[in-house]
Amino acid sequence: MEFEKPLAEWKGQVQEIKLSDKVIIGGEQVFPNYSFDGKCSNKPAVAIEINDVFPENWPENLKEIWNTDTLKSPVERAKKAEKEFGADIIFFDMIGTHQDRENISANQAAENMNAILKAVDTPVIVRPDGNFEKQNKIFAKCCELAERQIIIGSAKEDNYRTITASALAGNHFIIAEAPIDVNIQKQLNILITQMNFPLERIIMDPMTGGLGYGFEYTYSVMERIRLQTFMDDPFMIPPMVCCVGQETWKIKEIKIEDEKYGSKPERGINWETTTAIGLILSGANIVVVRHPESVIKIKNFIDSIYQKSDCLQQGI
Amino acid sequence: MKNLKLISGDFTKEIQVKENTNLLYAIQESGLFIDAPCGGNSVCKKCTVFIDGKSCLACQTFVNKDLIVILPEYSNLVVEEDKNHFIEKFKDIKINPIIQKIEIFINPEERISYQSDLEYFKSLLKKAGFEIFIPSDVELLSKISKATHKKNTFTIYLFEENNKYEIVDIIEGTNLKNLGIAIDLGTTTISIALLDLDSGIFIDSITFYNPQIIYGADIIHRIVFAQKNDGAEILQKKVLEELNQSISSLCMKNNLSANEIKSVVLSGNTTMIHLFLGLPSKFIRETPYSPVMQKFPILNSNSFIDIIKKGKLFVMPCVANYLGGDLVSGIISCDLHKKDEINILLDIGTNGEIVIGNKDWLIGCACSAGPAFEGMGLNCGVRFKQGAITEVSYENNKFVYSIAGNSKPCGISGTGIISLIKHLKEQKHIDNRGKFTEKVKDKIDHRKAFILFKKEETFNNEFIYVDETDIDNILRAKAAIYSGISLLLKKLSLDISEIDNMFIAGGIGNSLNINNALEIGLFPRMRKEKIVFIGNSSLTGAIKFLLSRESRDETNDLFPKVTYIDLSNEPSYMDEFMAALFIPHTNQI
Repeated sequence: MEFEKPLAEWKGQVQEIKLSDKVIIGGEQVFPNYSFDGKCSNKPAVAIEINDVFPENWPENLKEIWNTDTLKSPVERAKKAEKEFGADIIFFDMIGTHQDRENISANQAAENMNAILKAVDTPVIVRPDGNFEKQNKIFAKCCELAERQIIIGSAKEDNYRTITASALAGNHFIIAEAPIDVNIQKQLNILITQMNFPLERIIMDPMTGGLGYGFEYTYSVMERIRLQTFMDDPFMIPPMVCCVGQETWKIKEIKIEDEKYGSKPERGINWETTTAIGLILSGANIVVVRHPESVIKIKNFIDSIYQKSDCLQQGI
Repeated sequence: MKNLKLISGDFTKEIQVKENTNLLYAIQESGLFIDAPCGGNSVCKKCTVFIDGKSCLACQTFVNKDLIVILPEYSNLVVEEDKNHFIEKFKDIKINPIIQKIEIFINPEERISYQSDLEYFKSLLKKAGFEIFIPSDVELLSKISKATHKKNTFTIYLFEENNKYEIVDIIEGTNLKNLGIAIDLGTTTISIALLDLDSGIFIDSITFYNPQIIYGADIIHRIVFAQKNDGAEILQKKVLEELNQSISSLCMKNNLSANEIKSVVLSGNTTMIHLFLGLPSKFIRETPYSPVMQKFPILNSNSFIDIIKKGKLFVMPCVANYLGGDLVSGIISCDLHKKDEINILLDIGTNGEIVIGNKDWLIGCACSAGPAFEGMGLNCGVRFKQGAITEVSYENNKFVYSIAGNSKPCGISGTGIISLIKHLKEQKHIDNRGKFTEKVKDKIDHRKAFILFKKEETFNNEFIYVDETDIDNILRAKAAIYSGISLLLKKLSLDISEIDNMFIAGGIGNSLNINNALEIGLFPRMRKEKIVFIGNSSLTGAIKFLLSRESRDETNDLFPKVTYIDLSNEPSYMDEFMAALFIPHTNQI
């Protein structure tokens, strides 16, 4: 008797999003690298995180590789991330807008953003910090004044209306962030689309923890989200972004001086890379990291497995 | 001492209180119901009363002279159950009451010398076909003794156990009635039905708020209160007082004597029954989650309800700590345990209970829905009664409200708020999470609110409104129920389409609009004609228990057969709950 290869029959497909001519994400019809089941589609993108202010709480080795002077200028950082470090996407995390920090105004934030948009060619994710009131002001300003299409984040279940309305008016993408919860993620997607925002312009942030800090919880939630996508749940099709760098560079294992943990600089890179690869394997379409070394390692990994399965051309 | 005259609708009560007593406290002590969820801190404004035509808050008023106080009408008896609804239900029952009544003619002249009174009495009954146990009650023995020396006809009430009979009471005279009382002891509301057991005629019934509410809105709070000093005694005393009073007023209203009530059947959730009987309730809530017992002994009614001097108190057996006798009554009432097809029984109450099954198996769970559907815990909530907004519709760009009875509106009922939420959602006044959109601009106490009626249009001159907390309360209640059903179905690998009928019981029952309930996602979507409202099934089951021997036997067989699922031990329950905390629900795979 001839062996018949069992085939998972999925109906749904992740929404394919074209962020720029070079960067296209999503589109998969099967779990990551399940090329034996169907089309894997586009490679995940690697984004590098930059800030609007100097990141004083970064570990020294991370600051060194970026060069302290570069870190002081958001524009220089963005350029370096794109040209030198090979970022597919720039993740502009505006921590300085928080009312308890530099309290950068909405107008200034929009100006900072435009400077970045001018400096790089990659797609840019923009995310302000602060209380809802502050964030809402920045959402409105940034969406209004952005000189090209941006990805704005994050819409949350308790604060999604202003950002959705602003992004709708400015024809931007939106990041929908839920606290590691399938149901809330879906509810948020429904709420955003109920305001006539097209589902095709949503990217989900399921939120994550670093490896050893709740990573496995995110892993299974992301798997469940994708399971629903492939089972043809119309509200669960957006691609996913995971902010890995922020979660890994703050954990204590990266900061402590103890040789038994191995070399300190490498520790951070490995931690970031491993977390990012794990998330890619559970369905992340964009991973956001901080260390250039991690970018290389992650990209190598992506290239190696995507070449082997060769699913881009072949499919099944 | 000052005299207080409390008037609530047709009901008047006069009490004496010490000078400078807080009025709220005085009303609570009098046994009349007044709602004060804020605990008398002048925050909730629910204790509004009228003195000399002016409205004031009872909690902020101190009695320094004789007063006549007019309470809002819901302070007293709330609802009279629809008689016809019950009569229709019991017309096919083969009547075989729990307590039998026989009449015996005693003629002392016939007596042989030196034979004891009891021996003579026993022989008389034996001739009539009843072999009796020897009573252990001295009072009853003296009654029998007196009777055996008097030439007259006596009415004897007998309770059968294994073909032998226990004498419940003996009363001189003929044409006495054999009355029975069925009590549904709910967390939020109590219903009492009065029946003539010989004919099976449903005489009357009343429903009122459980007076324990002031000590906690749900069973958890009651159990916590019961563990405080005297807490259990206070809770028991409150409910017994209220029952005594209500039963006597029910008898008076129907010109009947409470002496002729010989049987009481009590149905309620496990906690309420424990509190009623004065049993320790602590471990209902704490590990090992054990009720004192599942099947309760037959008790003497006068140990609990004084006005029923000689009678028997039967308590519906419970299944588990949160699956009580009310559910067993419910199963009996809709014959879930006799059907070939798989059905769902859903009892929407403060403690929601769900059973799925057929004649071969039954599986059940309990979910805490809270008292919102019964009008409690909402800013302007009321139970179904005159003046309650029971239904909302949207016509010609306007919200239109149906109000029960011919009166000014006094609040919104559970069914009213369900249909309101449906229309608010439809008109985009709220989003799927129940939060107001830009369309709602009014504010009350600095919070966004949807105003249904302005001050001048209402019964107690206060706004009738709904805010986000109210909607959240209802969504939580509906999520608890929805997730309970969907979890049970998943555990059984059943699809809702495989369910033959869904029986909906509970106070919210008959007036609920199925479309609205489905629209907000109160229960899984199923064909409308499959949903059957059965009203207060706990009370109906208790009445069946009083009237029919078959039902009594079934009850005793039934309760050990129900498999109990503890939702708090189910890892996926929280997931289901989150999925349902949405209008209508996330319908997760």
